[in-house]
Amino acid sequence: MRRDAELYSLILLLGVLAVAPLFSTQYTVRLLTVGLLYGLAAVGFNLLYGYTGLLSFGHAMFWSAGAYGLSIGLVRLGLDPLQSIGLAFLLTLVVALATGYLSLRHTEIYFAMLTLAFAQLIYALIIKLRDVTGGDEGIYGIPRPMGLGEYYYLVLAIVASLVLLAWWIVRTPLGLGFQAVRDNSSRAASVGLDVSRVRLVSYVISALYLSVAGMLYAPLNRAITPDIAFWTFSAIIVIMTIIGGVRRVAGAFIGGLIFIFININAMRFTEFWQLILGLILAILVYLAPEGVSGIVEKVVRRVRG
Amino acid sequence: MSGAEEVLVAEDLHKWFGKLHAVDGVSFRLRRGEVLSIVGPNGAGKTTLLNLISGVVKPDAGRVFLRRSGELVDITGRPPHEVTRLGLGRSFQIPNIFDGLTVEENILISLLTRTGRTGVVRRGYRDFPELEEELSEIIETFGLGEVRGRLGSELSHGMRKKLDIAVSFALRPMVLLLDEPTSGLTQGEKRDMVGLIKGLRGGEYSFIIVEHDLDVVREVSDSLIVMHEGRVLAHDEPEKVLQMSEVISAYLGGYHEAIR
Repeated sequence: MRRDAELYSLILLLGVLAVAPLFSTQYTVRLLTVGLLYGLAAVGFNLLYGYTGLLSFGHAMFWSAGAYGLSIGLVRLGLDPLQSIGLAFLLTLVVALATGYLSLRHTEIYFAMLTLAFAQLIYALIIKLRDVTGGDEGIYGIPRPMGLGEYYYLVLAIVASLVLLAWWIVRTPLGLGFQAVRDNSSRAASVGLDVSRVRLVSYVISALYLSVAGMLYAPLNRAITPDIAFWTFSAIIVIMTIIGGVRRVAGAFIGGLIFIFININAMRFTEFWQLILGLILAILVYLAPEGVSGIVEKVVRRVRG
Repeated sequence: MSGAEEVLVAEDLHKWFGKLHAVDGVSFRLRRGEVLSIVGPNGAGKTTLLNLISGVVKPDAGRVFLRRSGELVDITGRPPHEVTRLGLGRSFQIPNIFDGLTVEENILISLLTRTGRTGVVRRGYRDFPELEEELSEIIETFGLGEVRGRLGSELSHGMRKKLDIAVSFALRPMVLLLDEPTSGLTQGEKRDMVGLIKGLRGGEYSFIIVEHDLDVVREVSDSLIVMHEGRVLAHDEPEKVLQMSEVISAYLGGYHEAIR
């Protein structure tokens, strides 16, 4: 019952997002697109964090691998879109397998610190490899194949499929394995699960989600800068997932949307919008550690009796 | 029993923790269908011995063999998930379950790994009718029907114990190691657990049980090992071992008192 409820709320939410542009300005549509991509990133991150129990502090590197891989292909190498997408996936896989192999020997804080370190290494590489990445100026003139309005629907279609796929993955034997490893890795091994392999699979899937989000972000913005590889962006990915709620796929997804909403509205009132973000995060962690989706679930349960 | 083939052989196992010789030359043979109990005071090396057998800890010397399609295969030092897949399951002294999963999901994990489906993404984990049937059977056998939808974290100690064993049993292991299956249980729960073990006993499954309660040991075991300071002090039929004068006077007397 509860599972179906999550699927229905996801479909409802995606339905609302499908009609939202009809009532929005160009500016809002752009924000909604970013919100969708943040939501996708949070869902991907949460497969590793909420479902497999590994807190990565370096997920910006996968968003960047996607964004830079695509942009380098399109702008620097003059490849066609399909080849550029291939290049972006290849780059992501290389980064994910290498950093995953090295950091998944550890868990908890050590894992978090290793992912942070590798992500900063990638950031440094982006800054240094000027000829390829444009250094701190980034890459400009990334083509977008269609107008913003149409691009929104392309993004929505891809994000919707991937979010529903994540909803599905956690309900398959593979996803159950993730959760078993999260709950109790030594027990997972003693029922025959290859814990390191389960973790690596989750890590790579998670990285691919971030990569797709990054790939869709570059043409939206038409330019990318190294900020997207900096550690603060990794922190934002963690924060928005926690705001939404880590126990559900739908929770992480709305976390991304809520983050953009807070970001924009708080910025209207004060320059110190991060202060407001910090307050909201602190209050949530204290009062509702299961995030916004946890609050909604509790309310629904109470209303139903 | 004596005619049945050996399913597990431990040969001269040793383990040091620093200067402590935790397991000191332990050897034994377990036959198909046999229930072997291990008793001994705290620190005698019982749990370490189980860890050496199940691959959680690597022995410093000695070998462990497990029967696999007719032959005894060396499993010494293999990682736990491999040892499990080769047919050896274990439960834990402190119930070791998946707290964030329901009772049904806890057991399903074992059914999925046993049937080689852990990587499957084309079907949901509740979409295997043949496993659902077996799942219900196991839940029935272990008396977990009333709590089947509850999370592991919501269970009582006794239920956690039962679930821990059910999770291991669902692997249908040739050999099942149980580490203090009755510890912390009420008298009623203890009787249930004894009934459960006796129900599973016989036929295909063999057991190694570390247990403090000698009444339980008497009731369920075919053979008994007494361990003391890492060594096997005695290994024979339970009644014989428990009547050995050296075991009683030098050791079990005080021990028996102490645990009552």
